[in-house]
Amino acid sequence: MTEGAAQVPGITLADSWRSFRTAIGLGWAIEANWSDPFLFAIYTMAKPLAAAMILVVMFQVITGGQGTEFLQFLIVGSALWNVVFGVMGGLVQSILEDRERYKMMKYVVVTPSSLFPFLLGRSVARVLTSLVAVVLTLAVGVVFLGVDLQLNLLLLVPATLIGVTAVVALGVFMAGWCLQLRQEAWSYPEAIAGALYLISGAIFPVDILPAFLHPVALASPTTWWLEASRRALVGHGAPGIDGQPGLFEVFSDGQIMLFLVISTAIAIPLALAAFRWFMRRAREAGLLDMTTGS
Amino acid sequence: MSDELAIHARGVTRIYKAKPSPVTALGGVDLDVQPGEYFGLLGPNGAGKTTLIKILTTLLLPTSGTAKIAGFDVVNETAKIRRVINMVAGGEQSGYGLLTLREQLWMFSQFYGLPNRDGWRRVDELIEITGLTEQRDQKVRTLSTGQRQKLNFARGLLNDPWVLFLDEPTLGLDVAAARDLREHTLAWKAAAPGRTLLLTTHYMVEAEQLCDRIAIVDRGKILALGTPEELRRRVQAESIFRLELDHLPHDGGIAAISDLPGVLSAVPADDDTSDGAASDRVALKVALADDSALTSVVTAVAERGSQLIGLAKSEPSLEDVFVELVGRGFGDEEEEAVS
Ligand SMILES: Nc1ncnc2c1ncn2[C@@H]1O[C@H](COP(=O)(O)OP(=O)(O)OP(=O)(O)O)[C@@H](O)[C@H]1O
Ligand SMILES: [Mg+2]
Repeated sequence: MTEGAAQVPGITLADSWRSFRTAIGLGWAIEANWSDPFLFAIYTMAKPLAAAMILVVMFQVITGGQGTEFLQFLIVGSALWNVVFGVMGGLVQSILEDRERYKMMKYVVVTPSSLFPFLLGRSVARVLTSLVAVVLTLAVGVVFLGVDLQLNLLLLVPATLIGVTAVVALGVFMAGWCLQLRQEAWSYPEAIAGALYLISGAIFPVDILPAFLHPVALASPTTWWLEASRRALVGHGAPGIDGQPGLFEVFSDGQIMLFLVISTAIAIPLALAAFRWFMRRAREAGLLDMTTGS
Repeated sequence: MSDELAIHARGVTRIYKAKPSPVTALGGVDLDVQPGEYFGLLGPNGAGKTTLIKILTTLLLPTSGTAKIAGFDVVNETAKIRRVINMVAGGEQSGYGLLTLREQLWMFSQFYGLPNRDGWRRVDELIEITGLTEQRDQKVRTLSTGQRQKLNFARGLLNDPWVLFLDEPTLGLDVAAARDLREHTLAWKAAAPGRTLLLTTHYMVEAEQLCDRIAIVDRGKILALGTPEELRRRVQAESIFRLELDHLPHDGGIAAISDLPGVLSAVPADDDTSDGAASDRVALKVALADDSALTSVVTAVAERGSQLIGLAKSEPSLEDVFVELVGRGFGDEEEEAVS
């Protein structure tokens, strides 16, 4: 049986690609499995819309309807953040579902495809449904709230591609972390996503944050992604506060993109290394087939 | 290269960090399984069987020791090992409930790198073999426990592994399904030379019927290892026969038998129900140094005018071996603990 042992290959790129593609199908089957299309619509569309509207109403109440600039800031930020919650939530949920609900994770792990491309593929459906929520929220903003869309596709397309990649990298980190957690602890990664929401300038400008949080904000690719996307969607980035120039106003679009690329290029290997380390730890502690529920 | 062992383990230990105190699931396991062997791990609950399988299938790291599958290290060469092994665990409700049987199997065929068309062919072939043809387009969540188990088994054969790990694969199956599954494993193994199986089970009969060699494990240690035949002989070196006679030899009685060369002892059998009342029938338990002494016993009985009504070799069962070994194992440890 072992004459061929010398030729047994490790994981190849082709394997990873095939697993990724196959897992997309699985992710879709699971994501689209709403016996009730009405519930599906509520989940993918009404929920993000409601979240955006709550912010808008709060803002209107506080400011008395002044400042469309800030309103646009708010709507774009909360629309885009659907991608972050969708991707991170999707990856984290894949880990927990496959391990504890379907009890299939160990069988995926013992295939030569490795868990990583599988997870990525598994979450593609989530990315797509979250993009639907983004478009929908923006559309409502444009039609009902006077958001003035000034599309710059040359900026939007690369910013979205790189930005979503960065978000996936963060999601991979979360998913690896989640391998270590018991089912009750789902909320830790969610808390991280929430913290990121607050410091990346999604619903208020980074300028408002206390100074010691600025480095954290500037290190996160999500911050640069949001700024680039705002410029590409409504023509200007985060506004300054109290008449001061905004933190990012000194940067050109090109510079913003450069920072997005750099922070993403740093985030990817970090996330991959972390995932590897988490996998190893999971093997050490016997967590790959753990059932913590019930 | 071609003389690599299918499984090679040396000093494998595994300690789980657990509350209130760490659990030693494996306390130094040495194991060599040859290519082409059907190897059984037999042991009581908590013996460490599943833990060993998890280590050998790269799901769990050993605390110390080394293990290799087909020459590849379980800690560092996982990608290669995963190409040549597969694993099926029984007694669990696993499966992507939303996919159909065919979809789930096909998905795994892709994870194993089967080309698209070969993948579908293999999937349908395995569905047929495992008797799931009627359910093939059903959603996995609608399957019964046993059907899920068969599906899981089919998945285990998708990549035609060199080494297939079966952790209590017949748990939860009905008698017929369990028998089918055992037969499938044998047929699969026979279909190509070098296919190796490692089975864990509580069922003696299963181990005895399937396995070329068996290791009896308890408390993380291998207590005995050998062919079923060898294990039985461990418990009982001599051959024991049960002789039923129409009456004792008139000339010398039992002594006429026990004094024969090669006969170690001859005593009335425990289960002798003849009472001496209605008939003179008698059952004897005769221990021989060797099976060949049986001829002289039979001749001597006939020469002395007794008639042989029944003759049976009483073999110790694997269960006897198990009870003796595991029982003794417990006893030893308790003594150690006390002293
Ligand atoms: N994740 C874990 N954490 C702590 N202890 C564990 C863990 N997994 C197993 N153990 C302990 O390790 C020992 C061996 O368990 P294992 O599952 O390997 O036994 P087994 O021989 O497969 O038993 P069974 O026949 O019941 O399946 C048991 O005492 C068990 O309680
Ligand atoms: Mg077990």
